[in-house]
Parts: sequence; C-alpha cells; structure tokens
Amino acid sequence: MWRRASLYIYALAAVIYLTLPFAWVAAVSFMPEREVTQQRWWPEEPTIGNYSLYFDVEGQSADVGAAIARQFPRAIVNSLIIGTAVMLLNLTCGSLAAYALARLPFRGNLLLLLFYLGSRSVPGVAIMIPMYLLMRSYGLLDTHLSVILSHTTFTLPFTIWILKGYFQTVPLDLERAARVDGCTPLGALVRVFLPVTTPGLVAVGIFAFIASWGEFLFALLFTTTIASRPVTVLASDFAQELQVPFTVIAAGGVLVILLPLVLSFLFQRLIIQGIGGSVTG
Amino acid sequence: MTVLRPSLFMSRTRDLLPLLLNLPAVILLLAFIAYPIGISFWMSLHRYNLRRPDQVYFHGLENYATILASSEFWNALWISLYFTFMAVLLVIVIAMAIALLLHESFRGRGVVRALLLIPWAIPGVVNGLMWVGLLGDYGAFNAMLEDTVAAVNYLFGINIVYTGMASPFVALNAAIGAHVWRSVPFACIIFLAAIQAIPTEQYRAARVDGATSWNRFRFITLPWLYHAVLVVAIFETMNGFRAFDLIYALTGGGPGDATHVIAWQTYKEAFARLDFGGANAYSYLITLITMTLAIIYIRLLYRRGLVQG
Repeated sequence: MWRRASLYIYALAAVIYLTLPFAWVAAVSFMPEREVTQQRWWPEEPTIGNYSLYFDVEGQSADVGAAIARQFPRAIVNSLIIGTAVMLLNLTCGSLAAYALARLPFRGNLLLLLFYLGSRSVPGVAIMIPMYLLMRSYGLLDTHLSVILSHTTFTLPFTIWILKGYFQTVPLDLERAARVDGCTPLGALVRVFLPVTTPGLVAVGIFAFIASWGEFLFALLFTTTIASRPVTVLASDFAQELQVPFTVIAAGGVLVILLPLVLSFLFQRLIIQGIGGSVTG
Repeated sequence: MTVLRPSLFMSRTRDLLPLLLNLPAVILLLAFIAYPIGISFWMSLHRYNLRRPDQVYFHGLENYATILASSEFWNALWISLYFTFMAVLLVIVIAMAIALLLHESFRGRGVVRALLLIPWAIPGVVNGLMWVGLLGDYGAFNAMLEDTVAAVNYLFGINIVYTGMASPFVALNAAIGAHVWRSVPFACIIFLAAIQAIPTEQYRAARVDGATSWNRFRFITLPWLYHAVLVVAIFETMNGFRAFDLIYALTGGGPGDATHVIAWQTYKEAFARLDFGGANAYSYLITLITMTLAIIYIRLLYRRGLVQG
C-alpha cells in the first residue's frame, strides 16, 4: 500500500519536472500582458491576442515584436523545406551505409565506423568558419541548400549508428531466403530488408527532421533574409530585442514547438524504440 | 550481442559493394566535416582578420600561443568543463531515476512516457527563450527561487541577497539546469531500453536470496547499464561542450563573462572580432578536447568488449 502510494508520488514528481516549464510558458501565451506581471499560473482572462500578431501577414500592427512575428509563417515554411530534405538525405545515405556496416563483412568497416563516430564528435563551432567560407565561395549563403547540407552532415553519423544497431536485430534468415530465391544483395536490401525495418527508418527520419528543425548555429550563420531563414533563427531575434513582452515571445515559442511536439507524440513508440534499439541492438 | 558474419555474401564484390554503399555518406562527411577541419587547421596558422583583409600571412603557432596565454580562454575552458561535468552528472542521475520509474508498472505509465518527449522536442533556442521567461522578473521559477532564498534566510538568520539572473552563480547554474532539462529524455530512453533488456530471472533469483532492493539495483541493474551509461556520457559530454544556442538565447554569455562557455567564446572571436585566424585556433582546441574525450570513452567501451566492428 505504502509502496504504491510512494510510486505515484514519484510519478507525479516526474510529470511535474517534465511538463511544468513548458506548461507555464503555454499558459502565459494565452495571458494578457498585465497578468504576467502578477505572476499568475493560469490566465484569468484568456486571450488569443498574442497569437494574432503571428498571423497578421498584412502587417498593420506596430506593436513591439510584430515585425518579427509577421515573418513567422514564411520561416515555418523554410524550416519545413529544410527539415524534409534533411530527412530524405539521411534516409537514403544512412540506410545504404548502415546496411553495409551491419550485414556485409568487408575490410575497413571498423575504420569507417570510427570515421562516423569521429565526425559525430566534431563540434559545430569547430567547423563553422570554413563551412561559412565554403558556402560563401559557392554562392550558397542565404539558400536552403546550405542549411540542408550542414544539417545532413551532422545528423548522418547518428542516423548510421542507430540504423546499424537496428539492422543487426533483424534475423539473418530473411535475407538468406531472399538470396536463395535469387536476389542480389541490393535486391535483398530493397525488397526484404527495408519493409521489415520501416519502424526504425521512420524513427530515424523523424529524428533527423526534429534535429534539423531545432538546429541553430549553422542556420544562424548561413541565412540572412526571410528567403531562407528557418523559424529557430527568427525566434532568436526576440532575444536581441529587449522590449518584446514575454506573452508574445511565449506564443512564438509555442508555435515553433508545435510541430516537433505533435510529431514526437504521434511517433512516440517508434522514436523510443529507435533510440533504445541503438544501444541494446 | 553477437557479431553477424554471414558467409553468404562472400563473393568477388565482397569489398566493393559495401564501400559503394558507404560512398554517399563518406563523400558528404568528407566534404563538409573532414575538409573544413583541415582548412580550419590551416587557417589557424595564419594571421587572418576580416577587418584587415590585406594582411593575411602565415605565422605558425602564434594564434595558439596568444590564446593559451589569454585569461579569456582559460576562463571559458573552466566554465565549459564545469558546465559539462555538472550536466553529464545531473542528466545521468535524473534520467536514471525516471527510467527506473518507467520500468515499474503502474496506471498512467503510458502518459508519463508520452510526456517524456516534451523537453526533447523543444529546440535549444526556444528552450533558452522559455527559461528567460521562467527566470525573468515575473517568471514562475524566479518567484520560487526568491521564496526559497527568503525561507533559508529566515530559518538560518542569514542574509543572502538574491539578484536572479544578474548573479553570475545563478546565471551559470540556471543555464545548466535548462540544458539538463532538455537533455534528460534522450538519456532516459536509452536507460529504459537497457533496463528492459535485463533478464528478469536475475531479479527473481536475487529476491529468493533475500537481496534488498538497493542491492538488486547495485549488483544487477547497474552492471547491466554500464554500456548505456557510457553511451549517454559520450553524447552528453559532446552536447555540453557544444552548448551554444541555449546560451545565445538565455544569457548572451553574461552577466559579465559568467556564461562564456567555449563555444560562445569561439563564436564571439569569429563573428564579433572577425579574427578568423584566432577563432580557428580556438575551434581547433575545442576539437582536440572533445576528440580526446571521445577516444577515452570509446576505448572504455572497447575494453568491455561492448562495441563490435
């Protein structure tokens, strides 16, 4: 009896820890500005006024922060384009490499594995200047492509690592059967292997998308105008402007978080299996 | 864990095909990681300030000498080491606590597991902005901290003045807290998967032998989690050293230089002072530090025979 009760108290503490910071910000995003200064936990007179700034594309409002808020829809589209491309590149390059590492014995596989692990351990700040100069010399600054390429390179080693672990859990008999039936190794990969490993691939894809959606440093360096700026970079402008009311910032924060949050709830099981499988697999 | 060695695929294309399959990934990583790292080293040996583009010349290790002699570098390095050490420690402890909870069966476990992904899904910049609000003058957490300090002062008859984010101590530890909050879910999922892989017979046997729950945790759970703890430690060490977006949004490096982590210092060197030579030397030093740590961790993994080629 006491054990049960303490378990629920423990669970409650975990829930409070995990949700309280975001819950407060979400509540503030529905408060009129004066309620925040009263240190409320719940909006007394809920309003969607903070959100309407973000959908005021015509640009009538002269409120502080409205100029940033107005660009949000465009920036969200930019983030969508970049995230989707990063996801697709990760899936194609990642699954091919991981398949070879998990299944085909070859000389140099250890070297490759170390190369992937090593490139994952390079911090973004360490290569930001050469990357910046590289993108500048190819005329790629302020394009989606520059951000896509940089996001792909820093997510790819992780994708390969997870997929390799995941692929190794698939029973070998499946491919054996396919090979006996006359499939080439590549044919076995496409016809037998990929369908079985779809959950892992979805998890890794969502993972890459969310990582790209949240990345900041390279996006900040490479993009200068709303033609390519993703939503995280736009949101960071709030940190530079001092007078923006926190209610407005909170609404923007909720808008940025919404898509990754929905995705992670929808694919919860797959994401948890995917990350978990990378270690135990 | 068994290593799969399918003799089935042994053929003349044995070595060629796997290399071909790796080619796209390798090309991308060579072009956008290995090549920049090389260039970065080369530039770090030059005097190269964008404000004086006419004066670019080779001057050996002078940038490194300047950095190693500067107090800014050592300050940033110590802050980063403190930040990373605390972050790794806290993430492991909190994530382990939640993972052990999620391993128990109770009503509502599914809900807790779904909520676990909330901090993970939040981008670093937005996390920073969130905590600006939470710890700001009207923030919910600021109010709690104020009340706590007031209570401590009252209880012990002392007089600590709480100045919120204007205090270097509060700012640095708040940044760590915000960073940890966002990093816990990932580590927790890894721990949970590792816990679930432990054979239940071992617990049953231990219970028959009359082992206490602490001893069951100490002698069964922990040894089985060694691998998972190391993996989390690797990821979190790297994440700690590259913390940038959170700092950018939450403290901007301040107050003073209290949260000048090494990533922030490098960014400032490059894009505020426009000293590309010096900044590259900085980034090279960061790379060396993280690489060294990574190699130590990987060697630890290999010694246990837990990573296979």
